[in-house]
Amino acid sequence: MGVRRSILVRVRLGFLVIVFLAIGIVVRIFDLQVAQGEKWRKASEEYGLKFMKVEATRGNILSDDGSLMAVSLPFYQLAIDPSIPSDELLNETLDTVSYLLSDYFQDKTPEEYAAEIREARASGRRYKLLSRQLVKYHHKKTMEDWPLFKEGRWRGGVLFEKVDKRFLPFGSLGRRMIGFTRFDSLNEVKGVGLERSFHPKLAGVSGEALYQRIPGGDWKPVDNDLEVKTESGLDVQTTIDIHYQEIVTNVLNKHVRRHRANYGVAIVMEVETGEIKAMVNLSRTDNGQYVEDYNYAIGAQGTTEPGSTFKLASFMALLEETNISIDDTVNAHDGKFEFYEDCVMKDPVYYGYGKIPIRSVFEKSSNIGTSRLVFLHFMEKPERFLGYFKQFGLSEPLGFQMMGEGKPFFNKPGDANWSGCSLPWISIGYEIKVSPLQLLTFYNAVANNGKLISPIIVKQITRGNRTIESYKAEVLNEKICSDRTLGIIQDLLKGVARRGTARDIRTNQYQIAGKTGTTHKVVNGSYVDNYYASFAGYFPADNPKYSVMVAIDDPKNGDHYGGDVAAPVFREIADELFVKGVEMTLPDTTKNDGIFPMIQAGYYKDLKKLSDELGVKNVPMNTTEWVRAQTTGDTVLWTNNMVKEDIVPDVRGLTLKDALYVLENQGLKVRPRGNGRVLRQSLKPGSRARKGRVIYISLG
Amino acid sequence: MEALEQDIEVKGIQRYLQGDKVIWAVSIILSLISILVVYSATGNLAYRSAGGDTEYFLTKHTVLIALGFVAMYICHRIDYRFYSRLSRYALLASIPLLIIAWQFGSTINEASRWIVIPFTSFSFQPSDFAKLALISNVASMLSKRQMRIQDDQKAINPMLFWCGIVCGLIGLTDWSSASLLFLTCLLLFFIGRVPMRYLGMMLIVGAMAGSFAFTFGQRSQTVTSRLSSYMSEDKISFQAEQAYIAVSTGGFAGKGAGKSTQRNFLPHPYSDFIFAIIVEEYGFVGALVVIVAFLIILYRGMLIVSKSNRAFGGLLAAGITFSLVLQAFVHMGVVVGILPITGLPLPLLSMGGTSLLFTGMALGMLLSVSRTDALGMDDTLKRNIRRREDTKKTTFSGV
Repeated sequence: MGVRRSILVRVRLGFLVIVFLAIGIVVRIFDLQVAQGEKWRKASEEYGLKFMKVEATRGNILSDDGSLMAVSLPFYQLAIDPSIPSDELLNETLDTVSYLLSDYFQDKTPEEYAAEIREARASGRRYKLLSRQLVKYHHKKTMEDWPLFKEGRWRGGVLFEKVDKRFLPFGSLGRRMIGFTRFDSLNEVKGVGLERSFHPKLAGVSGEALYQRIPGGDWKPVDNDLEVKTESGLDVQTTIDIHYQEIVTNVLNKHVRRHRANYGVAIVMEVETGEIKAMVNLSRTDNGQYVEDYNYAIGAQGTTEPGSTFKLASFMALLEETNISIDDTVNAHDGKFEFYEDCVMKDPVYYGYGKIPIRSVFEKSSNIGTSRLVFLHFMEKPERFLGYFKQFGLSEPLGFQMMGEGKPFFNKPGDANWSGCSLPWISIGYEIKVSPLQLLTFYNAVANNGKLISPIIVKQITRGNRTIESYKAEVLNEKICSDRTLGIIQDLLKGVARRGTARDIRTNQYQIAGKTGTTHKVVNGSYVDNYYASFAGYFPADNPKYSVMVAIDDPKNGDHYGGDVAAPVFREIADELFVKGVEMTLPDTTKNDGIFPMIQAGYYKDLKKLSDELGVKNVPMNTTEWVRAQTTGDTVLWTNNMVKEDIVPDVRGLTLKDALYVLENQGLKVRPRGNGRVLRQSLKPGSRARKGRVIYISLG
Repeated sequence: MEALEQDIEVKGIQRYLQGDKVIWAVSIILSLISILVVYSATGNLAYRSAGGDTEYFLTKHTVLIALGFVAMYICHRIDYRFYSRLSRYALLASIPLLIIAWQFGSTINEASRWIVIPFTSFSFQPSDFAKLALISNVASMLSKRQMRIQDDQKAINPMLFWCGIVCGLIGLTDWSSASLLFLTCLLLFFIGRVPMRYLGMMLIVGAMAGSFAFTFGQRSQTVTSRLSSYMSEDKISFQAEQAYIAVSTGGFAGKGAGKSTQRNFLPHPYSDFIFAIIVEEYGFVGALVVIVAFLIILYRGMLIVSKSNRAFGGLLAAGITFSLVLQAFVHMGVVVGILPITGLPLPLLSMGGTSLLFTGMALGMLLSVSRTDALGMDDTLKRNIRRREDTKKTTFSGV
């Protein structure tokens, strides 16, 4: 046999061997598909597939200027599939990883971590939660570089499960107003506040994705494409001015503490627009702290007998019904007046006011005077008296944008509890219940020249910068009373703060109009030593900008009158808001007092122009467009403020507008907070600016 | 007119793509299938490492396939006799490369089989290079020694030496590739008429190389566990189980392109288990197409062997063909569970730059044999014929 022929025969033999192998493979495929088909199909079902809900990213709640009040941040739960890493890998890395875990979570020792992971592996478990503590997004990034974890899901067995958590950038500020949501056992949404009320907008539309079960009860998405795309929730922009919210919270907190009150409420409403600018509820906890726990401003628990603040409604009804003059006099007797037996009206001063003009009845808040007038004019027709309250928008719920509005209650003729006492007592704000917000809405109408508008707390629903829906205050009653009544009543409200029960809060800067209220609570038919002090009003009285309602429940430090407890809160709020809001919107008539505005940093050309214009000596020592200011005596030196590409610039001292310009030019996403100039920035100046990174800046 | 132009076109392609047309066609078809399947199989990988950018791997893979064809084209244009000399230098170069990869290589999938090319982000696997070099060189040595091979120990020794060294070094990091290469060499010895007693010696050399790799290598644990799980009846490894599910649930016609679910469970579905994904998505039919395609390559390779008029050409063609096809069927055998788990890619189909590049080179060398020896004439004669044809053409155009 020749060499060539011998080689060819051998090649053919090799060919045959491989053909046999090929046939073996075909037979085996057939075997797996047909003979063992059932077995493997079953096994495949055990690794089941399922469509699962993918939650959409919840929308944000924003303040009136777009500051974030509630935002969803991604957090991660850290778990491991201990069966996945190879022995080699685990032996090499476990000690380091255990140490790092212990160091990060601070809840177990490295030895405990190592032991737990080994134990879970030994018992064949495929899922082990490493800590209940959630991991922040940027910590997750670091953890992914740890030994073992850097091997990922399929070789290292590490599992990062995303959990969206609601974060309130302003902490406890307005916490109850912002509220929360949760799902009950029937998967019905529960919760309170804006979160609950606007849940349908915020929640977005959840999507669906195909998930595959992996041993250990864990599911992983099969494709990165969702079968049903999620639609992110919409943003809810409130009317809340976060700065006002802070001021009001601080002021109220100080006073409820001083009075060791049960709770305190303060609401600020913009007269013309009906926008709620601040809504604060502080209730006392067992350890004497005050927290945002229940929304007394609108809720059923805050819907109580208003007391004397309600006299405004009674007087308006009287003025509309009759042609009495406020200069007429009425006999307020000697501090006690018996309508019927067991139906004795008392005035706050034990000696009584005697015969006083109607104006003083209101200003001094005489119960006897008020109730006698109402009794006199409406005794025969109480329904007519009550009818006015409907006109004033007090007897029906407001249909406020937030859920859980307390329903107003009025005792009516024919009701089981209606008695001869009812009419006089209603006239001074008893036997009826309204919420602070409802009463404020009524006072706001008086401030708003008789135009009753519904309060609003959400002005628009947005997606990004696009407005999806916007809300305006609804006009509930174009004119709640005649101009004559309105004029008199506005005058009376001013009088209260000038020489009446709230004279202590008068100020020369601006004029306050309002009414005090002191509800003496009745428990089981007799008065107890428990009061509800309130003040409702608006300012500046001649050109009202804001109406404010303050109520403090159960003050315990001696004082209990509205004028002593609630009115000072009003005054302090009004002082701050007057400076911040009202004064700024008024034409500046005060002369330039020559104080150089605080310049810290900015755009060189702008600052130079500004300084030159104002005649401030300034010396350029800069080579850059952006500068920092250094003052020496009365001269400003401009020094370099580096803005380089891909480097996080130092924006401290810049105005928000400038900071946004500089940072966004670097491709950073800016999340500002507060107002004023930049105080702090979350990324270190000089560090690398990766495009799309988020930088938080706080202004102040 | 149009028909004429097309005719010229075809002739143009034929002028550039010489050698066995069937091998060209099968390679192109398998590459197209490869793009489809790899795109689907990398879905999970893309999800994990390319931030969900599934096109990333698609683009990368397509570019590498194109590079493979470039290598194939270049190698098939070179006269194969050149490879006889080149293979020795390549073999000498592969030794340090294998040692570098073992000691300093970058680790992918638990074994340091990769050398990162300095100043680039590319890495390559010297074992693929060494494999091709050894097969070419063994073919070269066998052909030179054909006359004294039957009874001269001295003729055999260098071949045994090189096989032992290269397989041993590859085995340090990649036991399966080394075993397969050893088998291929053994087959090549057999085809090259090495007597049985020397084949027995070759087995002893293999055992020595194996124990060397087992003792000093990185893969002893894996080898033990894979072999023991293959041997044991009741305990099927997770990977094997997932592969069986893929094959089984694929059924006759498959689940359809891109519909594999097992790609999420199988480790490296785009390379070590690509055949499982092919069966799952394209069913029994798809499996048959792939099996037949490799049998066609084997058959055409055998034809090239029989047509070659030089021993080196025949043995080189045989070595390359068997190396390629054997690897393909071992990969399939692993997937369906008739062989123990290995980490071998399926040539022409799996993702992986080095594998695609050297498979392209190997096929190019095979085609070079087919191109040169197709007419059974020596070069001088062929050159004369070509010159004569050119003269004819000129004459024709002159008229």
